[in-house]
This record gives sequence, C-alpha cells and structure tokens, in this order.
Amino acid sequence: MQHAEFEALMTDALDGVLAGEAQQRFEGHRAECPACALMYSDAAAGMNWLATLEPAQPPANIVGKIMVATVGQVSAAAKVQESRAWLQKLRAAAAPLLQPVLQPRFALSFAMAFFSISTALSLGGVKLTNVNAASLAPATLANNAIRTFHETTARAAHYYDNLRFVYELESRYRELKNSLPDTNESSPQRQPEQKQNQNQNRNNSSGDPRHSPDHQQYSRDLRNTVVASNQASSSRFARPDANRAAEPFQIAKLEPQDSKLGSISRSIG
Amino acid sequence: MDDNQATFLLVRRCVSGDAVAWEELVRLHHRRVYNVCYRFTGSAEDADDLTQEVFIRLFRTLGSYEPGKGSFVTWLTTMSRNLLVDHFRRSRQDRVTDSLDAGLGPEEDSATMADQLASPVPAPDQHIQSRERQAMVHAALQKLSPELREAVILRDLQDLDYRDIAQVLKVPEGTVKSRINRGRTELARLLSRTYQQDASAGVPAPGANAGPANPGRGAQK
Ligand SMILES: [Zn+2]
Repeated sequence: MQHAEFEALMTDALDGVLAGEAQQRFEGHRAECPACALMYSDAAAGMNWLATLEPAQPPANIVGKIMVATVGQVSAAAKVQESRAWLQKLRAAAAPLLQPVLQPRFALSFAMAFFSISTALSLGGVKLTNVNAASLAPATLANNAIRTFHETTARAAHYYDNLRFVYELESRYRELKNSLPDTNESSPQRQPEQKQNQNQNRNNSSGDPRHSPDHQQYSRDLRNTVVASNQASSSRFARPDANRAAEPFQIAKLEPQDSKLGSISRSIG
Repeated sequence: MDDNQATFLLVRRCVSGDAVAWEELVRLHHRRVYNVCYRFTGSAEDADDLTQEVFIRLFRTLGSYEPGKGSFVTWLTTMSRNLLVDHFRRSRQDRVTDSLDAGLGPEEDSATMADQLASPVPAPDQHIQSRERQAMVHAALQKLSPELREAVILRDLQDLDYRDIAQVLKVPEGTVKSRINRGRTELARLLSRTYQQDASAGVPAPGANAGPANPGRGAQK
C-alpha cells in the first residue's frame, strides 16, 4: 500500500467502517510506515479533540430577532388567530356539504365557525334566515359537540365547560335571530315545538330520530345541569325582547375554549 | 413519515405564507446554523448576526428549495457556508489571537458530572477543566485555514456525511476526506504543542498525541 492510498482510507478507518482485506493492508502499512502511523494517530487525536466540543447555545432572543426581521413580529402567535379564523370560515363554507358524513368530533369546530360567521353576517346586516337552517341548526351542532366531549373526555369538568360554551353559543344564536326583524314573526311559532321536544325527552319517548333525545346519553350526574341550561335558554327564547343583552356574551370565558378548538383544528387540519 | 418528508411539508407551509410554520422551521434549525457560524468565525457576536442573515436569506429563497436535489439540512448548510465565505472575504479576519487561552466564551458549557466521572484523569486539580479544554479546542480551530476548518466543522461537529459535505463545499469527496485528515492532524498538533507548554508549566498533558482525556469517544468505534 502506498502513502496516498493509506491517507485516502484514513477517514474510513477512523469511522470504523474499514473491513476485510482493505483493513489488513491499512494496518500493515501503519505498522511499517512511521510517517503514516504518526499522521494516523494525530488525526485520531484531532477527531477526539473536536468530539469534546459541546454544542454552543445561541442567544435566547435569536429566534425572536429572526422573526422580527422576516415576518415583522416576535412570534407568529398573533397570526395563528388570523389563520385559525380563516380555517373556520373555510370549514363553515363546506359545512352543508359535509354535514351527512360529518363526524361528531368536528362538530364543536363547526359550532365555533358558525358562531363567527353568524356574528359577521349580523354585523353586515345579512339575514340569517337565508342560511340553510337545517345544516346550521345550533341544536344539532350542540348535541353533536356535547356527545363528542362526553365520549372523548371522562372528566366532568371539561364536559361542563364545553356544555356551558355550547349553550352560550346557542343563546347567542337566538339573540341574533331575534334581533333580525324578519325572524320575529316565526319565533313564537317555533317556541311550542321546542317545548314539545323537551317534553318528549323527559318522557323518554324516542320517536322521531331527527329529534333524538340526546339527554339520555348524558351521564346521570350532569343531567340536571343540562336540563337546567336548556330550560334557561328556552325561557330566554320564549321572551325574545325581554332582555336581549341581559347576559352579555362572555369573551373571556370563551378564550380557553378557543384554544381547545385551536388544538382540535390543528389535529384535523 | 421520515424527517425529510416532514421538513418538506413544513417548508411548503412556509412558502404558502404560514408564519407559524416558519417559526417552527427557525426553531428547528437555528442551533445548527448558529453552531456552524460560531465555530467558523470563532465569535459569538458574529455568529448571532450571521445566523440572522442566514435565516433572512432562507426566508427569501425558501420557495426555490427542491427536495430532489438533496436534504434540507444540506441546502441550509450550503447557504450558511456561502454566507460565511462572503463574511470571511469581507472581514479578512484570519488574524487570530495567539493565546489559546483567550477564547474562553460564555457559550461553552461546563463539563457535566458524567463527563467528570468518566474521565480517566483522577484528581480535579490536575485535570484541565472541560470548559477550558473546550475553549482551547475552539481557539485552535480558528487557527486552521478556512478550508480545513469548514471541513472538520461539517464532519466532526455537524456530523454530515462525506457526500453531503462534498455537495456543500462543491469539491469531490476525495478532496473532502483529505481536508478532514489535514484539519484533524493540524488541530492535534496545535493542541499538543499547547499542552506541552502547559506541561512544562506544571500541568500534565493527557499523553503525547493522545488527544483529550477521553479517547473512547471516536477513534475506534
Ligand atoms: Zn506511509
């Protein structure tokens, strides 16, 4: 073996990947050529020196500085809200199409999207009655969402939180509907219907699948809460102009829900 | 899904304007870029500036990344290296302090307890502390020519394989290996000289040409 060939094989030898006949010839030359043997031991030492260098820690604020220099803000957190809202609008637009195959675990996302859309629409003066009521019916969304959280979370606290949210959503929806002049006429007509449904639920009659009594699927300890909430919201519904803004929508309470929704959105999107 | 695929999906999200994906990409790769810059320039301050420059350039050119032409890490490393070469030409900073003790940076982590215990050198007062040792290696690295320095940084600190290094440096693999050999031997000679000086001053060297006290970490795997 020549010196040049020895040198060419040195990295492989130091990596421990030299084998068989090549390794034998390499070791043979190392034994008989002091210059190459010295070069080899120096290279091995240099490699070991370099291995003692631990990774250096960059300054803590470096990511923030890069973000400012590229997207103009320290963190993309604010933009998360933006993109999440956009995602929800997209989902809301697709909701009527997806409704038949919609899985319950998506329902709360849709409910949230529905909320933001309906708010936007009412601010823009658009009549909510033009929207397909069946696909966006808050009761459907709410029931699906509740069932989902009942199935996926064993903890009642979470369940209760989400329940609160959904009913706040539903009451907000009613307020919206009631605030629209065209829907005021239809409201009293739909009121008895709703009460009838509740009566059916209480009597454990499960006749019409469209009005399937979801209450029966609730855990026993939460049943009272559910009924109470439902009654509360329907009594508000019964008197549309009583105090529309009596229970102002609580943004602060919504925020943790929103972050939960965010994680759901991320996991499915 | 392997790393390359995941990175490509992340890059695609960045290109479509997803700032969250961009922040994730920055978080995933800034340490690597910073370390290349720090070990090449020898200066924490320069590394800070250059790392930002690399990512600003990356942000502008991300759309031109093609996964078929190599891994994202290779692509990013090439970009970092080109910027370092520019920086080197601009500043001509081949003058490095003669004293190997001078480079004691705040970035060097002190030795972990495990390292201390694993060290075959028994008495702590005779043992050259890991922190000082690292500073010496770091300073010695700055004495290598840029060609040899970048080769050993990419191989021994960044753990790239020879083919990727050849792609980054745009030279054949044989040349890469030759530079790595020369970089390693030159570094060992610089350091053994320092250690012999230290030894004459009363601090024992870990052994002639034996490298640092823990030779088990690389030589014969
Ligand atoms: Zn020889």
